[in-house]
Formats: sequence, C-alpha cells, structure tokens
Amino acid sequence: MAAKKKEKLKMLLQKVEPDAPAADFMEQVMKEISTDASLEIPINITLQDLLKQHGMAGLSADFTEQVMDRIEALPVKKQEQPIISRKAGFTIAASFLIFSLLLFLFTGNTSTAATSPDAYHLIGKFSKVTQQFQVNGSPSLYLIVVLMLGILLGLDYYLKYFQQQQKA
Amino acid sequence: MDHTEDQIYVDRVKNGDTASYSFLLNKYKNMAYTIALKITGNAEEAEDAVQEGFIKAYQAIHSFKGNSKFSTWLYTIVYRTAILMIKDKRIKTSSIDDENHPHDATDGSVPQLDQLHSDEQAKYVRQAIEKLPKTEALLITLYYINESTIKEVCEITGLSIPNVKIQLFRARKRLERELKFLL
Repeated sequence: MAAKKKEKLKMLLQKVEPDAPAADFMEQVMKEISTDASLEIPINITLQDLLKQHGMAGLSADFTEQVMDRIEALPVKKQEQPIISRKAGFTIAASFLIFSLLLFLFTGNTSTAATSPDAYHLIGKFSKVTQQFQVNGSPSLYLIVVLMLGILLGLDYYLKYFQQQQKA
Repeated sequence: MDHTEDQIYVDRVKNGDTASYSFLLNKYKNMAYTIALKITGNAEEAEDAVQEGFIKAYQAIHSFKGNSKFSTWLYTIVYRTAILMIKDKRIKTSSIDDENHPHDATDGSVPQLDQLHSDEQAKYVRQAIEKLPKTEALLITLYYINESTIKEVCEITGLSIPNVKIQLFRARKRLERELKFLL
C-alpha cells in the first residue's frame, strides 16, 4: 500500500516540468564558451585608453622614502654563498674523475688488480699512482689529503646549492 | 627591454645595492597600490599592503630567478599580502549586485562628453570600476591598465584561465555599459 502511494507521488512529481532558465541563457553560455575558446579576450581600445588614463591610483609623495627607510633599517641578511664557485666545483669533480681514471689505467695491468677486492690493495694501487704524480718529492699522502679536501669542498658546494634550490 | 632593465636593477639589489631598489619601487608602486586598493577597498589598508609587499619582495629578491617578469612576481606578492591583510583584519568585502547599476550615465541624466573635463572623466571611470565586484575590478586593472597577459593575470591571482576570461568578459561588458557616454 505504502509502496503504491510512493510510486504515485513519484509519478505525480515527474509530471511537473523542470524550471526553465532565462530566455537568453543559451546565448550567454555560448558567449562564455567562445570567450573561453579564444586565447586572449578581445580588447575595446577606447575603453582601454580611458581606463589607462584614469584608472590608476596614486600614492603619497613620500611613499618611496618611507619604504626605503624601512628597508635600510632591516637587519643585514648575509646571503650564504658556496665557498667555491660552480665552475671550480665542476673543475674539482672533473679532476677527480681524471685522477681516478688514471689510477686504474696505470695500475690496471698488474696481475692482482682484478682478483683482490681488499681495501689495502686499493690504497696500495692509489699510492703507486700518486708516486708517479709526486711533485718535488712530496709524499703521496699529501695528494690524498688534497684530493679529499677537494671532495669535501665539492660536497659542501652541492649541499648548499640544493638547499638554495629547495628554499627557492 | 623593460624586462632586461628590471633585471639589471634586480641584480644590483641582489649584489647589495639597496638604493637600486628605489628605482623598482618608483616604477611599480602605483600599479601595486591600484591592485591593493581593489582588494582592500581602503586607501590606508592598501598603502600598508603595498609597503609590506615591497618589503617582502626585497627580502625575497634572491629567490627571484627571472623566469617571469619582475612586475608579475612583485604584484603576486602584493596581491597575497593584501589578501592576507583582509583575512587578518576581517575586512568585510562587498560586491555589487548584478542588477544594481545606480550610475549617472544610466539614470537618464547622461553628461555630455564635450562638457566633461579630464578630472570628471576620471571620476566616472573610477566610479565605474568601483562598482564592479572586487575580483573583476582587479582583473580589469591587471589586464587593461597594466596590460598583463591572461597567463600573467592567472599567475598573480591564482585564478584559472577560464575563470579569468569569463570575469573579464563580464567586467568589460559592464564597463562598456557604464561608460557608454565616454566611449
């Protein structure tokens, strides 16, 4: 019984026509669609000239001074710069790569090179190469230290660079 | 040309030449103020928003990479500062109803164009802009007065391209109607 009543009510409601929009509704929608389709909306030049001539608001004469005074009173914020420049960073990285390449080129023909993964063996190989790069008889340890410093500076540069990128 | 000139001054400021900032300030202060005024609807609030905006821009100038125009970047900061200011101070924004056009130009007493002095014209133009909803007034300012592109307007306001276009279309129609006697 209840279900029948519900169905009757539904039928009755469906007989009522939906509300109609304004007569110019379609026209307005089409206008908006055509506006949307064009990349730039058309400009009424006369209107634009009129707006440009009179549409700007002006500030007080001392506005610039006020802002500059406030800016000059700001605490000086030191801009963090990497210790080494980007160019120097690339040079260090390139030097390191060349040095590593030379290391394996010069020591690659020894019989034990490929067989032992021992760290001591690698240091030994490194020493062999650095001995060949000794300047005025400087010990190879100095070269290693210089190389490590270079790597650290390079890391410092890139860490700061990425931090800056993230802030931006 | 303009873009390059701005970049030169931006670079100078980045290198510590604070005085160079006054060039950028003088160049863009009026448009920044006009934008802020459209949002706050109050001269004092607008001036505060512009001051804050310029100071924020100065403090963040190292993050300006030059991917967009300096003016677009600056106006975005000013726009957001003004919006924040409204939210903070809970200034009630009001906009006119679509049917409400109580303007001298449409009430039957249309002034004659040749009788109008420049300052009177300015008064009618300002009144017509003030009657627009705030967002539409802002978009008209950016698009027609500042000659920003639709993309730049979207960047500044955060609105979508279709939304900007529709609002500009409506605002232009309304202004044309309001200022019919001047056009």
